[in-house]
Amino acid sequence: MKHHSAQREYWRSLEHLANTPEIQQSASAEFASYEPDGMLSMSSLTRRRFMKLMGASMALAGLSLNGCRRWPEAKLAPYTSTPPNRIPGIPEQYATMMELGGVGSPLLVTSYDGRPIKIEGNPTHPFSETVKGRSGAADAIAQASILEMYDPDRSKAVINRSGGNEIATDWDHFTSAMSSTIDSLTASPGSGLAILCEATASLTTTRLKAALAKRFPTAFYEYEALSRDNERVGIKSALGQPARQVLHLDKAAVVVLLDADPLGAHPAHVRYAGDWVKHRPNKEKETSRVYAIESAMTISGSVADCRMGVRPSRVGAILSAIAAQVGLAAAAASLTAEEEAFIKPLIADLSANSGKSLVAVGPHHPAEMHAMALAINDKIGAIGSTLTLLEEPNADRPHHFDSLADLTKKLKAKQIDTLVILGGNPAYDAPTDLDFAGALKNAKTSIHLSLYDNETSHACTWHVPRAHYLEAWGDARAWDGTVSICQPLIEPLYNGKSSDQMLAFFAGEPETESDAIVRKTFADIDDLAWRRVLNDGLVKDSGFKKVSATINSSAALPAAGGQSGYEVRFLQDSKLYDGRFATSGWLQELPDPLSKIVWDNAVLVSPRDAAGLGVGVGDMLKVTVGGASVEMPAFVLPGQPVGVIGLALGYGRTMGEHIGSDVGVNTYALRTTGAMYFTSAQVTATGAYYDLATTQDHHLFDQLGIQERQARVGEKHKSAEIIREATAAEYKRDPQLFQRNEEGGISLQLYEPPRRFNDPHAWGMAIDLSRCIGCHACVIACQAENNVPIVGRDNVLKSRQMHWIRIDRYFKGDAEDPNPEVVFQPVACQQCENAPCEEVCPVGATTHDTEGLNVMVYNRCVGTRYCSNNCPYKVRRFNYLDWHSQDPRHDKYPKPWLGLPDTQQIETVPMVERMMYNPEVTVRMRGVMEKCTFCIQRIHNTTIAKRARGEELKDGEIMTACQQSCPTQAIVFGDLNDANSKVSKWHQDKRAYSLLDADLNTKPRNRYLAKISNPNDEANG
Amino acid sequence: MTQEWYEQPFVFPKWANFLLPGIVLAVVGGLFYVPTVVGLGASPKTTAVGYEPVQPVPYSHALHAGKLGIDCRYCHTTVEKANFASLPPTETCMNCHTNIRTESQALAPVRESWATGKPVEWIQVHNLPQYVYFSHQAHVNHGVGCIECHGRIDQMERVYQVKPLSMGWCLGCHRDPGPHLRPKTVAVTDMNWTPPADPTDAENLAEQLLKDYSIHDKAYMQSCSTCHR
Amino acid sequence: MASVPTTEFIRIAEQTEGDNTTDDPRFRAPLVTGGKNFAAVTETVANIAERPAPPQAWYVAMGVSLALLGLLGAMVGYLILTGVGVWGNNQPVGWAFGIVNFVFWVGIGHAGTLISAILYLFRQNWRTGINRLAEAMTIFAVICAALFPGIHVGRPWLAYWLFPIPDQMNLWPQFRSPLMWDVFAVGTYATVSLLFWYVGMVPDIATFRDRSKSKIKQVVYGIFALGWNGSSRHWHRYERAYLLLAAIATPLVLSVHSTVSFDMAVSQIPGWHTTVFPPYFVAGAIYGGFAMVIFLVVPARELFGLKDIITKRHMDNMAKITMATSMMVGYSYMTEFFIAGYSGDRNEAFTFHNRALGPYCWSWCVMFFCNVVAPQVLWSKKCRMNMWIMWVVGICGNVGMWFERFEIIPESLTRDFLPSSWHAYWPTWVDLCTLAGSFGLFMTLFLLFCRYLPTVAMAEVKTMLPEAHAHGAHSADEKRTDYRPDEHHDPDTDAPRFANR
Repeated sequence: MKHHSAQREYWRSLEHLANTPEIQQSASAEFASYEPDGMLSMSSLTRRRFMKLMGASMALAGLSLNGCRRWPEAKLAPYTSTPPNRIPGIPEQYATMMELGGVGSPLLVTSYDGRPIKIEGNPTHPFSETVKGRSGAADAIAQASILEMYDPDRSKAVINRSGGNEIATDWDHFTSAMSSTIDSLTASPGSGLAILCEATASLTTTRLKAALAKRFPTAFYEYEALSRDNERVGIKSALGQPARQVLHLDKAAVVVLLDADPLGAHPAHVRYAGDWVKHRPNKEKETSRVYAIESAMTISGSVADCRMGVRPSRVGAILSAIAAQVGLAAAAASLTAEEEAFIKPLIADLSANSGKSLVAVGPHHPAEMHAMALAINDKIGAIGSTLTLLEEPNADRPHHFDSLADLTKKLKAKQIDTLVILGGNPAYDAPTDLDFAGALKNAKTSIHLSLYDNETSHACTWHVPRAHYLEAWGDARAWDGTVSICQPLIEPLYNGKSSDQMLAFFAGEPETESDAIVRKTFADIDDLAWRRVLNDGLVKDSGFKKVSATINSSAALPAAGGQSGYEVRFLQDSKLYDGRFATSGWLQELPDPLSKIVWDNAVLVSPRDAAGLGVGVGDMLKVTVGGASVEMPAFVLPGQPVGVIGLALGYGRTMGEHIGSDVGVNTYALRTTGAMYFTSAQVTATGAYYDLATTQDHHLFDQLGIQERQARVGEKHKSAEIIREATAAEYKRDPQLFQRNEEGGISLQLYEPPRRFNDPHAWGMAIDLSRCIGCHACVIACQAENNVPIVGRDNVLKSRQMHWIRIDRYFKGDAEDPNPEVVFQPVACQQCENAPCEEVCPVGATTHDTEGLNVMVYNRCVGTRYCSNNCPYKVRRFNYLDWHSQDPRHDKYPKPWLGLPDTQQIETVPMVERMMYNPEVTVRMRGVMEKCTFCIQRIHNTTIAKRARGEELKDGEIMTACQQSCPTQAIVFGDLNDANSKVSKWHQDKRAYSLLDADLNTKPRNRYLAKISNPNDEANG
Repeated sequence: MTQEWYEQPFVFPKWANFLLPGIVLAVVGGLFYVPTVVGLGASPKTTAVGYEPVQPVPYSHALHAGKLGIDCRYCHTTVEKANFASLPPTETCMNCHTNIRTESQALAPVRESWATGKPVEWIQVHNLPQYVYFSHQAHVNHGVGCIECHGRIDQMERVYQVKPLSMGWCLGCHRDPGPHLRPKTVAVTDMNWTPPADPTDAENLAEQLLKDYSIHDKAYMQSCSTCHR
Repeated sequence: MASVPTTEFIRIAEQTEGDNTTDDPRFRAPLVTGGKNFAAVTETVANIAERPAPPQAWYVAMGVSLALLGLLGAMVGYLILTGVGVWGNNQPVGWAFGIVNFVFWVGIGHAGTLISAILYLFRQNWRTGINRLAEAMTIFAVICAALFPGIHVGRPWLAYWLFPIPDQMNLWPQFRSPLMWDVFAVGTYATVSLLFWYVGMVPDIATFRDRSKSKIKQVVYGIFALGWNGSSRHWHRYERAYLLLAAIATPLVLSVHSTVSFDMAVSQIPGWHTTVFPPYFVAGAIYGGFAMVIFLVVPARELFGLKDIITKRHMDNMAKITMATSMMVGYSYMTEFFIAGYSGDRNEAFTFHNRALGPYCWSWCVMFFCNVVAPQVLWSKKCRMNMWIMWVVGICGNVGMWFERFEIIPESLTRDFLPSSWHAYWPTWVDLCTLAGSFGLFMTLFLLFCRYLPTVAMAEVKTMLPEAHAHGAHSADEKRTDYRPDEHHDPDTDAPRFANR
C-alpha cells in the first residue's frame, strides 16, 4: 500500500523503515550478525550492542495499514530499561583513534542512538585540537573512514581457500582448524610462525607479540608501502639511535622543505598545519617564510612562499650545497644558475634566523640526506627549538622494505610454513620484483586478516574478516607517542576480529574479547583513571622520551648520478593513501587538491614536457621503467618540475570491490625494491585519448577562456576580481590597500530589503585565503554531516558533482612559469542577503530566514533549476538522478524507477548504508536542488537546547562541519550581531572582501580575507 | 418536391434543447464539486484526525494521567530535554506493576517484555512527515501545553489524534502564538487550565506571555528553516 | 448587368498568368486568381476534406510524424521515470534543450496571432488566404511549447505547485519569479489563440457540415458549427466576436514573448541580463513564425491545389515581412555586441566575445547565417517567386531561430562569473530525440488539421472576390450560404466598394 505514503518524500533515518520485511531481508543479507528480532533484544546494556541502534526509542514502520490513512502504521519500540545517562535522540560523542602507517590520529566520533555517523578530531588531543578543548580537526581520510565501516562490500565471513576452492565459514571453524597448526608448532616449533603486520606502535600488539614469541618461535615482519623508514635510518646513522623528529612550525620563521610535505603528506600533518598557520598573517607574529624545493607539486609546496621545482636527482645536490653554505664539511655540489639564485636568499634567511629556522627532507630520499639534514638543523640551532628528537618505538626493527624482502626470500626458500598477515595488502603494493603473491604460495598455511577479501586474501589459504577500528578495542600512539585507546562505537557489523584478537588467539591468551585484551595491557591504570582516559582519549604524559645525543655531522651523500631523460616520482595519493582506501566512494570522488582529478590517477607532466611530447590533458602516455610499462592518461600540471613525471600510487586495484576495482592504473607495477620512490623512465605518447574526470577546468581548452580566467584571477601575487592578495611587505607598507581595492560596490537598490536578517542572530562566515591549504578535509566533513551523495565518474564528467563546499584552485602566473603561484579558495553558499536565487524560484522553495540564512526547502522544491542558473557562485547542487541509489560505477543511463515517484529510488539503498545518514538532515531525493545552509541542523539543535535551558549562546559554540574539520581554522562562523565574535572581527578585518559583490551587490554573508604571502623577491626571480 | 436529407443543413434538432438543462446542471454541479473535493482534502480521514489504533497493551491515559493524576513527564521523561518525546521503558511500568495488578491479563505483554528484554511495540499515533523537524523541548519549555497538540489525553481510554497536524495547522499557531501559551505558574501538563474568559484579559495575558517566554517574532516563527532542514 | 469589374479582374488575372504580384495602378490586384468564384473557392477548399483519400505525400508525412510522436512519448516516459539526469544538463548549465525548445515553439506561435489579429486590424486583406493555416500552426506550436516546462522540472508530479491553488500548506507560488509570469502569459496566449481560431472557423465548419454526405460528418461538423445558419444575425455576432478577439489577441503578440524573454532578462547571468530582450525576442518570434508559415504553406498549396487562393502575392508579402523581421533580429544582435562592449562590464563583454569566438562559435555562425544572411536573398523578386528558394529560407528561419535560443540559454550558462565552475554543455541522445519528437507532435496535429478542417478561411476569402463587391454580381445558379450583410459597403466609409476607382 505504498500509495498511502504520499508524504514520504524524504527518508531521514532508520526511523519508520527499519522494521519492514524488505529491509530486514536486505539487512540480514548485508551482514550475518543482524537478526531483525535481535535488533530489539535488550539482553546487554553496553551501548555498543549493535541491537541497540534500533532498540533506542524510535519509530519502526510496519507494513500493515489502518484503513485508508495516508501514512503507514508506525511502531515505537522503547527500551526495556534505559542505559544510564542516555537520552534517546540526543547524539553522544566518544574519543578514539585511527592508526595509519603506525601513527594514530586522535578522533572524536559522534554516535546517534548507537550509530556512529560523524568523525571529527579530538579537541583535547594536542595532535588534533584546533580550538583548545572545543574543536578538533581530522583529515579527509580519517573522516571518510566512517563510510568504510558501513561499507556493505566488506568481507563478512572467514574464507578457506586451502582446498583450492573457496569455502565460506566462520571464526569458530577457523580457530578449530588452526588449533592443530598451533599444536604442531608448540610440539615441534621448526621454523615457527611468521607474522607480517602493518606498521603499528600499539602497546597491546607489542605485548601480544612478546607473549606469542614466548609460546613458540615467531618471526615478526612489518611492511608499509609508503614507509618513512629512510628518515628513521638516516637519523639513526647520524645519531647512533633511531629517533623521531617533531617539527615545531609555530616556532620557525624560516622553513626549508626539500620534498618534504609536512602540511599534506605527513602523519602529523593536521598538527603541523595548525602550527604553520600560527605564523601566517596575525597581529603578534611576523609572517613566516617557507621555501620549498621539490620534485612534485605538494600541498606544502603550493602554499610555500618561495618554490622551486627540481628533478629528484638534484635535491641531494641542493641539500649538500646548503650544508656547505651553512658551514658543514660537505662536498659543495655544483648548482645550476637557477638553483644558485634560489639558494642565495635562502641561506641568507637561514643565517639571519638561526634558532628560528628549520630544514626538512622528504621521506622518499635516501637515509644519508636525512642524516645531513639533521646535521644542518643542528648547525642552524634548530634542534631543541624548532625541532625535537624523540625516541622511536621498537628501535631495533629493520627497515620496512628490507623486512618484506627478507620475508619474501624466506618464503621462496620454503622456510616458512605458516604466515599470518595482519591487515595490509602486500600482494598488491609490494615491489614487483619481489613477486610477493607468487612467494606466498610456498607457505602451507597463510592467513590474511583484512577488512576486504582483497588481492592478498585471494593469494592466501585463509581470509579472516577484520574488525574496523570503530568496531573493536585497541590502542595507538600519536606522532609524539602519546597513547590513546581506540574504543569502538558499535559491535562488529560483519563479525570481524581485530588484529589484537588474532594475535591473542595465536598467543593462547585467555582473553578473546578485544576490550579485555586491551584492558589487560593497561592493567596498571585503575578503573577510575581508565574512565578518564577513555573520556579524554589519551593517556597523559605517555609520549616518547626526548633523546639528546651528539650529532655526527660528517654525513656524505652518495653520488647522485646526473639523470637525463624523464625521472619518475612515485606519489602518495592524496585520497587513497597507498591504495587501501580505494573502496571508499567518498575518497574516490574527492578532488585531488591540485589536479582536481577524481576517480582516476594520471601521469603528471609539466606544461613544457607536455608540449615536448605533444600531448594535452587526457592523451595517453606509455611510461616504461625497465621491462615494465603502463599506459596512463597525461595530466598537464603547472608547477610540475620539468623532466619529472608524477605517478600516484594506489590505483588500478583488481580486487577493490565494487567501488575500487579498475579505477585508474596500478603504478606499483613500475615500483621495484631498487627504486621505491624515484626512477627513470621512457615516456612516449600512444595517440589514444582518455577523458579524465576533474571537478575544475574540465573542457577548458580554448585560449580565449584561459586568458579570461587568468585575467579574472590576476597575476602572480597581484589582486584581481576574484582573488585579492598581496605580499607581506606590501601589506605592511599599506594596510589599507584591500579597502581601496573595493571599487565601491554600488549599494543602491530598487527597494530597501524588508528586514536586516539579524533576528535574533545574524549568522555569518569568513574564510581566510592565507590560511587555506586546500587539504579538502572540509569537503568530506560536509559530505558526512549533510548526507551528500557521490555521483560517480560519468556524472563528474558531466559536472554534476554534489559537494556543497568546493575548493577552487587557481594557478597564477603565465603558462610558461615553471613555479606558478597556487591559490585555494573554498566556495560554499555565500548566503547573499540579496540572494539572486530567491527572486527566481517560482514556488518559493528557497527563501531567507530572519537570521540571514538562505534556506533551501527540499520538500518544496520542484526542481526548475532556475536558482542554480541565477547563482553567480554556482554553489547550488541538483539531484539530476537519485544519487543515493544510483550505482556510481554504473554506465551513464540509469534504470528507470517504476515505483511511485515520492517513494523514490532510495528505497533500494542497502540498510547498512542508510544507517550512516545524519538523521538531523533530510536526505534529498531525485529532482531536488540542494546546497550549503551553514549546517542549519547544528544551529537549530544548539539554539533550541540553549533557549530551553535559558542559557546565552556563546561565540564559537556552534561550528559548521567545514569549520570544525579545518586544521588551519581558515573558516570562521558565528553571529554578526555580536561585535566581539570572531566572525565579526574577521568581517571588519582590513583584508576582508566579498566575492563578486562589487559587480552584483549580492551582499554575501560570507567574506574572504585576502591572501598574504611572503615571497622572497630574489628567490622568486 | 421534397429535398434529400443531405440537402438539409444540419442544425441542432429540437430535442437538442433538452440538453440545455443538462448543461446548466453540469455548471451548477461543478460549483458544488470543487468545494467537495477541497472539503475531502481537509477531512479527518485525510488528516488522520481521530486515528485511534489498538495498542498491544490497553494502557489507559484516562486512568493513569486522569484519575491517578500521574504527571505526563513521569513516563515521557525527555520532553523537556530532547526534541523527541521518548516512550517509557518497560522498567517504568514495572516500577509500580511489580506490586500492583501483578496478575492482570492486560499487563501480560509488559511482564513478558520485562522478562525477555523485548520491548513492547506501541503503535505511533502522532506521525509527522520525514522532513518536518518538530522539537518537544522547544515547545514544552515555552509554555505550550501538551493539550495544544494532543488534546485531552487525560480523558482518553485509548489515545487518538485530535489535531490535523498539517502544515496549515502548525502555521496557525506560529502566526499567532500568544493565545496558545500558558503562564510559567501553570504546568504545561495541566489539562484543565483555560485562558481567561474575558477577551481583553486573554489578549493582555498573551502579550505578557510572549514577553515572558521571549517568543521569537512571527517572521522567525514562519521561516521555512524553523521546521524544515 | 453591371458585371464589368468581374470580367476586368478575370482579364487581368489571365494576362498575368496567376502572377498577381504586380501592382497595376488602375486596378486592385486580385487576391484570388484563376477566376475563381464563390462556388469555386468553396469547392477548392472543401475538396481537401471531402476527397475520398488525401495525396500519397500526406500518408508518408503522417507516417513519419506518428513515428516521431511515438519517440517523444518514449523519451518523456524515460525522463520522468529516471530523472532529468538523462538529459545533458549539468551544474553551470541548468537549462538547455528543454527551455530552448520551449522558447522556440512559443516563438513559432507568434506569426499566427500576428496575421490573424494585427493584420486584421490593419485591414491587410491578403491575410485571409493564410490566416487559418497560421492560426492552426499557432495552436499546435503552443501545445508543443507547453509540454516542455512541465517535463523539464525535477519532480514533474509536483509541477502543479506553479499554479495558485489553495492547499493545506498555506503556501502560494512566488509571484516575483519570471517562471510564474510565464505560466500566466502562455496560458492566456493559448486560450485566446484557441478561441480566435475556433470562432473564425465556425462559418466554414458550417459549410463543411452542409456539404458533407455522411451522417457522422454532418453531426460532428454540425456540433462544432454551433448551429450556424448564416443568418445576418449570426454574421453580425460573428463579426463583433472576431473583432473583439482580434483586439484582445493583439497585445498578446507583444506580451507573450516579452514575458518569455524576462526568464533571461530578469536574471543576472551575463548574456541573459539584457534590456534589449523583449523587443528582440518579439521580432525574432515573428520572424521565426513567418519562416514556419512559409515552410508549411509552400508544400500545402502544392499538395492541396490552393495556388489560386494562397497566391504568389501572399508569398510575396510574407517574404517581405520575413526579410524585414530578419533585419530587426540582425540589428538586435549588433546592439547586444555594442552594449556588451560599451557597458565596460568585463563579464558581459567576455560572454559575447566568447559567444562569437569561443567553443560554441560554430552555433553562433549557423544562427547568424540563417537569421541574417540567408533572408537577404529575398530582396530579389526572382527568389521571392521561386517556391523552392522560399521553402529553403523558411527552413533556415527555423534552424536559425532554434540556434539563437541555444546560443542564449545554455551557451551563456557555460561560462559565467567564476571560471572555476565553467563547464561545457553537450546534449545526450535523449535531448535530441525529444526535440525531434516535438516536431512529430507538431506535424501530426498539423496534418490532421489539413485533412479534416477548412485549411483556408473560405468565408473571408470570398469577401476578397469581386462578386462580393459588385452589386448583384452573384448569378442565380449559385446557392448562397455565405451571405454577408456588409459585403456591399465598406464598413467604415459607407461608400460602395470600388467607388474609389
